[in-house]
Amino acid sequence: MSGYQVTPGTLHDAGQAAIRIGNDIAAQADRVDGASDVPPAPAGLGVGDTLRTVDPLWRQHLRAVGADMRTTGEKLNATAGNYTNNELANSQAFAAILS
Amino acid sequence: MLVDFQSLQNFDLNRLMTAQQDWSAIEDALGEQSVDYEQSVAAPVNDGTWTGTAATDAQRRVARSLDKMVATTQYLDTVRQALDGAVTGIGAAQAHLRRGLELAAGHDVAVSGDGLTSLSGGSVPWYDPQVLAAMDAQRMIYQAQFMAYNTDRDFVPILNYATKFGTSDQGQWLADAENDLAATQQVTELLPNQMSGLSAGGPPVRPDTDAQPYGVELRLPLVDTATFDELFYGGVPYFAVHGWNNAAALLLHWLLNTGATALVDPSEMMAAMPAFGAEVDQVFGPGGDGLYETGWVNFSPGNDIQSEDWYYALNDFRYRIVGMIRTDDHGNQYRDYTVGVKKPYVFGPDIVVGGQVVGHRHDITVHGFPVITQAAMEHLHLVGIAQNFIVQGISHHSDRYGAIGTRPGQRADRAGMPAV
Repeated sequence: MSGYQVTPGTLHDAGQAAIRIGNDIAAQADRVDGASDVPPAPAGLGVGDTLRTVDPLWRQHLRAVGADMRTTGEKLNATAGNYTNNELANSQAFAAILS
Repeated sequence: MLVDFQSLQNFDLNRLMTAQQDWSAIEDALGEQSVDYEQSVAAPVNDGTWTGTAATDAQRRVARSLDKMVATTQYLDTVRQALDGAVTGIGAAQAHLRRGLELAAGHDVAVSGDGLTSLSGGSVPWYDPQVLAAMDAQRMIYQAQFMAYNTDRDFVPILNYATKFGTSDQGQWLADAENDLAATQQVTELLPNQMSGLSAGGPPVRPDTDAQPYGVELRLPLVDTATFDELFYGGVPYFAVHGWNNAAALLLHWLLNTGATALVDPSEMMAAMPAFGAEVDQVFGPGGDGLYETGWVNFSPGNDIQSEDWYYALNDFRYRIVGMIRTDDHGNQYRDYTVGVKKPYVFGPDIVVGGQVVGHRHDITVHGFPVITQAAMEHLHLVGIAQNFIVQGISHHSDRYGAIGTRPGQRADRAGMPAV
């Protein structure tokens, strides 16, 4: 059984919020570029070198987390946009979108 | 990774602090976004007004994203803490290094590009010879390098393991994040203890012969000239023809009446006196990462005279060892250490400190009969014909620990030798 007390507007707002947060997180990845702006450490001190090594991984990770958020938001938006009065159709269509 | 002197000296801490601030800001931002996500996305999706297959899928997806954000924030906290620790540790090491260099500069002790101190010779204060400050400064340089080495060793792995992304098991990833953050906090808690080991100054210096007044007594022309001639025309050549060049050089230096410091090479002394070399090796025992320090201690050959040259040159002397053992990324141990030596070149009666005789001086004898007494030699300084001086030296050593051969010893019992 599906409950449709939730309104399309609520889902749409949640979707928009997820997209906004996803974009914000992805923007933090660019900040990592600033954080990695440590000059090459002279040989023999590993902290600076290691930081530069891990930075690309962090950028990639933050962008992936942001993209995942945005996808969630887009799916919630799509769900809200395809809202009909047919409960069964909604449930099947939304499940396909959200999976 | 072994941190060398120049790497530590040149490392741009300000840039690392900038990185630390950036990562801290990223962590703060992610924390705020997590709260925002929970309130603006998770709450409406989970508020119970939406149920069914689609709602379950949406809730599962939102929860997974939230877990990912929480783990990400925890790993950001790990990175920030690692950078906090690195800034603190390297900053403390650099500050200590600067203090050591200032100490050296204040005593005209040169420091090479490799962070090794050297003595300049010339005249030095009797009670504060340059080698004392040089050894104190050298210890501080080693301490600073060791602190930076510890910091690197502790925090570089944390920066590396804070990148466990992409695991398909979100629950495991979240658990790893919590465990790794706790481990980071444990490492961070070690920092104050490590920093407390960064101490300035040196150990107490063993009391030595007081400075004797110079040129204060009237010369006894016949007696003093005879003593001088015996030493100049007899003693110095005698040492020289036996190949006891250091003994000859120091006696001649004393007779030349300049009072200038004489420099000796402790590494040469270690090679010539295996017993001394063995004492140095014993300081490091079985090894192990750490800083090593003997303070100023006495070496006396006693009856085990392994080098007539150094026996006639110095007899006993004071030495100090400072050093460190570190392990590289391949598990190889490396030892860096410095040996300092000092000795006042003085003739006279036995050394008495606090009413106790702490050093014997013997007359020069031939077949048991004194031919030149300590008092006669002391008198040359008192009347200003010869002059006492400080003997000091410093040598630096680096090797792979555990790959050191034993030094062969030799024994030559001698008695009744003159002593300075």
